[in-house]
Amino acid sequence: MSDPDPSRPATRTGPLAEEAAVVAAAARGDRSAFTQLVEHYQGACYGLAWRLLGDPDLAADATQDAFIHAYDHIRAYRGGVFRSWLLRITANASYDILRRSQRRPTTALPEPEEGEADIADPRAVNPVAESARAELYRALDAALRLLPEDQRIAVVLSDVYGMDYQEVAESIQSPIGTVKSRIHRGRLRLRVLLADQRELFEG
Amino acid sequence: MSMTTRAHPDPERLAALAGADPDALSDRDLIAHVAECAACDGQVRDLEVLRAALAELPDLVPSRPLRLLPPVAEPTEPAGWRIGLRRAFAPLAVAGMVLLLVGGVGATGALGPADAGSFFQRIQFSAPAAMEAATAQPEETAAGVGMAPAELASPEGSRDQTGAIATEVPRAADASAVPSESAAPSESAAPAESLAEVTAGQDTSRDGGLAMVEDRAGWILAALAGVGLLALALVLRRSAVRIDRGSSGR
Repeated sequence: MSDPDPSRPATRTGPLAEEAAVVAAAARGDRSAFTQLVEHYQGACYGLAWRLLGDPDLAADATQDAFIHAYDHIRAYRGGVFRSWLLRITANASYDILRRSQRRPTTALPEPEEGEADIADPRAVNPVAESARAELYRALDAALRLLPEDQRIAVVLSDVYGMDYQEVAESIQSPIGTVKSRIHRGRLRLRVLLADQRELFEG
Repeated sequence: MSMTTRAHPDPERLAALAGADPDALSDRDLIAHVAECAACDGQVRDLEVLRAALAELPDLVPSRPLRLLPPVAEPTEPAGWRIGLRRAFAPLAVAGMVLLLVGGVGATGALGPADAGSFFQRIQFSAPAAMEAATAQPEETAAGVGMAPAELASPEGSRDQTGAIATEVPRAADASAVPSESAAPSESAAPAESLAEVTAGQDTSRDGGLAMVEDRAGWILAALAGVGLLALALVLRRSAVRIDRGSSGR
């Protein structure tokens, strides 16, 4: 599993300048307006997809699917925060891909030998090579990947992308009670996984 | 140590509190316990810090550039008459080919019950006099008159009557047209009769030819109709293609 380019950590994407006008133009069929939205939000959508799927190619596919769905349904967009609308679509697209890949299991890769773990161990980050913040992000992403899938999805949607319980429940088609339980257990497990890296949080 | 400190709440409740879950926030016992219990309070703080850090996780640069594909010309719904043009081509072409095939085969005589008749009609049309003589000759032979000596001597004539008729027809026709020296006086009326029969035969053969054309007129018309339908189908096809090119180039 390869990571996204860590040398170019992006920040959280804020709303586009004059976003309402751009969205309205895209809804009228203006392709250049929609392209503007794609270029602006692709990092956010890709980030969500990658954190849900843990695979760069699948994440790119999910992002592409999400934008196609968004393009087809942008007339159904009824206001609100466009980023959240787009992220919900991306979450659904990612979840669809996840379910499809579970229905068609691929050959499992051999278990990495000790010391050659392909999945980054949150304890194996190099504090010298990266800045403290980039190190924290790397540790968090690595810890997220160590969570059980159901907990990871719930925590990513809730705590990383700020969806409320209802939105998460709709995205993963589960009862709210189940969603709450997964989020809470996921947070507790993350805390344990990152217990030895408290110093990263103190910066 | 108080009672609340000893009975630690379920860690999931602490996680809920750290996430500002409305249910947890409204749980007074939970709030009171966390306020008094340093361990639980520390756990809640850790979880809050963790949650804040998760909320800061940056967006990621896609592994491959995501672009909208260049606009693909959306297939415009063709007008009804254009659909009609396209759809008419195949049935018209098939009908035309069937008509052409059936009409063509029928016109050549390979079809229908008139096959045998058409053979004689063709012969009459090409050699009416010969046919007349040929049909008259066997009767005379049977009567023992009008047969030329050469013909009587001919072994073929005695052996194969039908073959003799076929081979001797021209000579018999010449003999009837030009009075022979060896012919008996009673046979002098024969040339006149033969001439009349020949003339009548010619008329009959011409009628036969016309009749043949009339018989085949249906087939010929069918073949012509087939050609017409094929031509129409091709014209429709070319028109539809031209219109499509014109609309896609717009």
